[in-house]
Amino acid sequence: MLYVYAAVSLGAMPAPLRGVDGETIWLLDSGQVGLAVSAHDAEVAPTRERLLQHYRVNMALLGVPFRFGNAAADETELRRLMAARTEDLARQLDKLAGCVELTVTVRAPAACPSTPGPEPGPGRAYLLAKGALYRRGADVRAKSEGILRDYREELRDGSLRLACLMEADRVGAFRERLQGDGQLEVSRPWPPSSFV
Amino acid sequence: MIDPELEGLDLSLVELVDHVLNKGVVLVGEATIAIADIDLIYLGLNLVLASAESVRGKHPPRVLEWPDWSPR
Repeated sequence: MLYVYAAVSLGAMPAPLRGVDGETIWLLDSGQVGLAVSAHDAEVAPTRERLLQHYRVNMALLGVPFRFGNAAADETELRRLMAARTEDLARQLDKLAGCVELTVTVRAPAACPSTPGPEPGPGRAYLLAKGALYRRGADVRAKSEGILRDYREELRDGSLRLACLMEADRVGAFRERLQGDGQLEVSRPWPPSSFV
Repeated sequence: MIDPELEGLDLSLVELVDHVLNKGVVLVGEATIAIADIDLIYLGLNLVLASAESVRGKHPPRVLEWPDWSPR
């Protein structure tokens, strides 16, 4: 069985890598892109350690990350599955190669934004708070201008989560731009899986 | 055996599941994860997620529905 980690540029394989269960990774030429794969005797079921290994390989490769668990019986089947996907993956690789994503979580302020007139009811208060979150998200994007290549917004648990795509060597500059804002929480870098 | 390169790598299971198991390119069908009656996030167990094929003999596979996370 061939387990797939990511799509990368042909010839872009870094120093020898070991992946899930310590297996050696190599590049399979799939036409326009290379696929980083490793061989396994059995299905690769998810465990914490294997998820970490998959993550570590993707952070080393910085290509188009595959979700954990993609595998094919052999090279023939993998090429068959890839036949209709190669062009799309090549386009994604143009966009994502060398990039990571960081998640910026914007917490809701302790108090609702004040508005003139009587105190808003719960529905209006919710909309005001939501609007305030999105404005803070816009602030983050404005501060990150020139660094952000793309972003995704999501409201979750009363907070706004921004998935921010950037080149890996701009992470330090991105963190500096947002430093000192106590309502923001910036994650570690991750493979850019929100953008595939 | 723990991969020595992973020791000290401080990643929460929630983040790992969100970034590595829930997102990314999917080549084949949909991910179906069968879990036996465990609130996997809130219990925070260092748990083993069994693939649908490996548990099919014991439990019918079911997709875990979660307000913040759904397998695709």
